[in-house]
Amino acid sequence: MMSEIIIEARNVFFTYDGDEKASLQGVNIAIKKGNKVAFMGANGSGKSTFFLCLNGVHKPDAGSIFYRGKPVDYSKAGLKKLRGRVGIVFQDPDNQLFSASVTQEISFGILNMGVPENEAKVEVERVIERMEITPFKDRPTYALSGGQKKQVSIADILVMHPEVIILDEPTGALDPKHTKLVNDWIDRLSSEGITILQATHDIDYACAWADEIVLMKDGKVLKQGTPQEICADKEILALTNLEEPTVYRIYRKLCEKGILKPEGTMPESLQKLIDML
Amino acid sequence: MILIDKMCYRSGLRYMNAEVKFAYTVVTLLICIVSRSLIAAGIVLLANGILTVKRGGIPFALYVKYMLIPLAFLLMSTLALIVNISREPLDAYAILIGSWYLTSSKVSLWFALRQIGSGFASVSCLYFLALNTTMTDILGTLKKIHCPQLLLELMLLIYRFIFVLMDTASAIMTAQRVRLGYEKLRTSLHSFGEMAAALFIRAWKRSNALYDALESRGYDGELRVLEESRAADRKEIAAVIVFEISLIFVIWLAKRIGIE
Amino acid sequence: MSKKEKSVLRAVVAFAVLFAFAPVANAMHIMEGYLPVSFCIAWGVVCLPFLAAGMISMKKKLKENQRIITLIAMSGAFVFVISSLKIPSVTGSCSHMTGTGLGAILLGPASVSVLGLIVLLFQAILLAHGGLTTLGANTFSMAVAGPFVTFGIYKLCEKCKVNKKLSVFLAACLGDLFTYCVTSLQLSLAYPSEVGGVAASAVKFLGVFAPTQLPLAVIEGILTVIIVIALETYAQPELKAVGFLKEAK
Repeated sequence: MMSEIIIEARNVFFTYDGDEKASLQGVNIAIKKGNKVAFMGANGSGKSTFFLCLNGVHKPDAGSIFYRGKPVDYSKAGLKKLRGRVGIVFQDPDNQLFSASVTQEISFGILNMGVPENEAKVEVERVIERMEITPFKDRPTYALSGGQKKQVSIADILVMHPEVIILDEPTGALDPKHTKLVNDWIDRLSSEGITILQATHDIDYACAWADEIVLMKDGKVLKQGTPQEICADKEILALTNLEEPTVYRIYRKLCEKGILKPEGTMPESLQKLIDML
Repeated sequence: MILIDKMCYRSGLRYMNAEVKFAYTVVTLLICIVSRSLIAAGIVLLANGILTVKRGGIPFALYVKYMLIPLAFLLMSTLALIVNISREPLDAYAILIGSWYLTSSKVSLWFALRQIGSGFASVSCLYFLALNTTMTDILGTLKKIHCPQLLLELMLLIYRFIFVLMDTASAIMTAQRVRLGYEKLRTSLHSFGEMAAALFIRAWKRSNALYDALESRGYDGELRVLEESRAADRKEIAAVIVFEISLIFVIWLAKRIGIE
Repeated sequence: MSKKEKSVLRAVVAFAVLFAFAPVANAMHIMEGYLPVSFCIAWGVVCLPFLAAGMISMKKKLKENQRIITLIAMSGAFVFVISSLKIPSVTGSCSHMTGTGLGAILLGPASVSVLGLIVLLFQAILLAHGGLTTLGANTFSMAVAGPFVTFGIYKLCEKCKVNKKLSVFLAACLGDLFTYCVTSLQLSLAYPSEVGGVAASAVKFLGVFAPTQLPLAVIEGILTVIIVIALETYAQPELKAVGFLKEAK
C-alpha cells in the first residue's frame, strides 16, 4: 500500500528580508507519512529555513507547501492547527527554552492548542515521565546540562502530539550518553508512526537510520532518494563535501580482499555488515 | 551566576505557599517602616535570621555578607542625617569651625539610629522573600494580585533571558581576559564596551530565533503556562497572623512604657 | 582634646572602620525600608502615568509586530546583565554601569520606563540593590527621570548637529547625574534637616553621595559612547530593528 504524502513542497522560493540571495531557490520535496528522512548539506544550504517553511513561520515568496494534500492555510487558525501537527525541535535549546521552570516550559505548546488546564497538566506530567525528566523537573532551566535541556526541548514538542517532528541537528552538541538517548527516543517515536525529519551531518548515521536522504546545497535540492541511491552517488556526495559512509568503504575493501562476495545492495549499517560476514 | 537565585532553589522553605511568604514579607516590612521601632527591628531581625538560616538552610556567613550589602548606602545617608552646619550649637554634639558649628540634636541621633535599625530589619524581610522563594513563584503571586499581563509576560521572558545573556557575557569576557583585555583602566573600559556591544548583537539574534521557536509552538500573543501553586498550610497562615499581631502589640506596649 | 571632641573622633574612626566592611556600592538605589510609607506610595503614584504611557506605547508596537516581544525582553535582560557585571580594573564604587542611559538612547524613554521597573524589581530580589517599598522612588529616579534627560539631551545634540561621541557622552553622563540629584531630592524631601529644612538636607545628601556618583556618571558616559559607537559600526540592521521601538514616544 502506497504511503500517503504528508508534506510536499512545490517549487518553493524564499528570501530573508534584507538578503540579496534567496535562501531557498525552487525546492521540490515530497515526504511520505511515517518515513524517516535525513536532511544533509552544508550550513547555510537552506535546511533550517526550509523547516521553518513547513510549519508556516516562513511564508514562501513563490511556490507552495502542502500538508496532507491541502495547501497551507496562513490564517491564524490555520497556522495554529498546522503547528499542532508539525513540531520543530531547534538546534540550540537556549533558542527554544523561554521559561525558567521546566513544567511551565513544557506546558506552553499544549495550552496554546486550547487544551484545558487540568488535561494539560496530566499530559505534561505524562511527557515528563516518558522523557525521563522527573529527576530534574524542579530545577531552573539555566542549571540544566546541555543534554537535559535537549530532553526538555523535545518534550516541549512531544506534549503537543504532532504527526511530524522535525529535529534540527539534535545531537550536534551532546555527549555520547545523551546522543544515544536522543537517538533511541527518535527510534521510539518513529515506531509510533510519527514522520521524522532530521538535519544531520553524520553520513554514517543517516545511511543506517533514514528511509530517505535529502541533499541540499545553496538553497536547492541536489537529490532525494534512498540511502542506497544517495550514498552510491560519489559525485553528488562530493558536491556537498560528504564522504562515502564508513560501512561502504569497509565493505568494498572486504570485497576486494575476497573476504566477502559483492551482492547487489550495500550494507546500510555496521550491524548489516557484521551479519554479512 | 546569581547566587541569591541559586540559593532559593535549595531553600528548605522553597515549597511553602508563595502567597503566605509574600504576605508575611510585606506586612512585616510595613510594620517596621511605620513604627521605626528598635524593639520591633530586633525581633524581626531575629525572626528572619532564624527562618532564613535555620529553616531555609542558607549558610550563616553568606547571610551576614548579604545583610552588609546596603551598609554603604546606610552609612552615607546616616552621615547626611546627623551632621548639620548651624550658627547655634545643638544638644548632642557641637564642633566649632570658624564661626559655624558642626552639630546635631539628640533627637536626630536617635532618629538616625532608628533608621539604621529599621533599615536592616526591612532588608532582612526582603531577603526572606528573595532567598526562599523562586522568581517563578513570585511571578505566580504577582499574577494572583492582578499585575498587568504584559508586565508578567515580559518578566517571565526577561528572567529566563538574563541567564542566557550572562553565559554569553561571561564567555566573551573570559576570552578578552586571557588576551589581557582588562589589565588597565583604559583597556578595561574599552573591552567592557566592546563586550556589551557584542552581547547586544547576539541578544538580538537570539531574540529572533526565540520568537521563531515560540511561534512554532503556537504563540499567538499570550504566553500561556501552567501555574503551579501549593495550597497554603493553615498552620503557616496562623503562625504569620499570630506573629504580626504580637509584633504590633509589643510595639504598642513599648510605646506606652516609654521605650522605643 | 576635650571629652566631647574625643568621643566625636572615636565615632568618626568607628564610622571609617565600618565603611571598610561595606561592600562595593554602585548606583544610588534607595535601600529597602529607608523611605516612609507615605513617600513610597507617593513616588509610586508619580511613576504611574509614565509607566502607563510606556505600556500603551509598547502594546501598540506589539500589535503592529508581535515579533518584537522577545526583542523587548532581551533588551530588558541586557540592561540587567550589564548593570550586574563588575568592570575589572575599575575600583570602588564606580565599578558597575547602570545601563539605563544606554537603554534610553537605544530604545527610547517609554520602553525604558517599563523595562526599568522590571530591572529594578529584579535587582531588588536577585541582587539586593534597592527594595520593594522603594521601588516607586527608584523607578522614578532611575527609569523615568534619568532616561528622559538622557533622551532629551541626545535628541537636542542631534538637532544641533553636535559630534556623535560628545552627544552620547553628555546624554549618558548628565542623565546619570540627574538621577543622582533626583534621588538626593527624594531623600531630602522625606528627611528634611533640622537646620535648613529640605534645602539643607538636599545639599547634604548630594554632598555625601558625590564622591561615588560623580565618577560613576563619567564612567557611564564613556562606556555608553564606546558601546553606541561599536553598535553603529557593526550592528546597523540590529539597531534599525530596535529603533522601531523608539519611534513615536
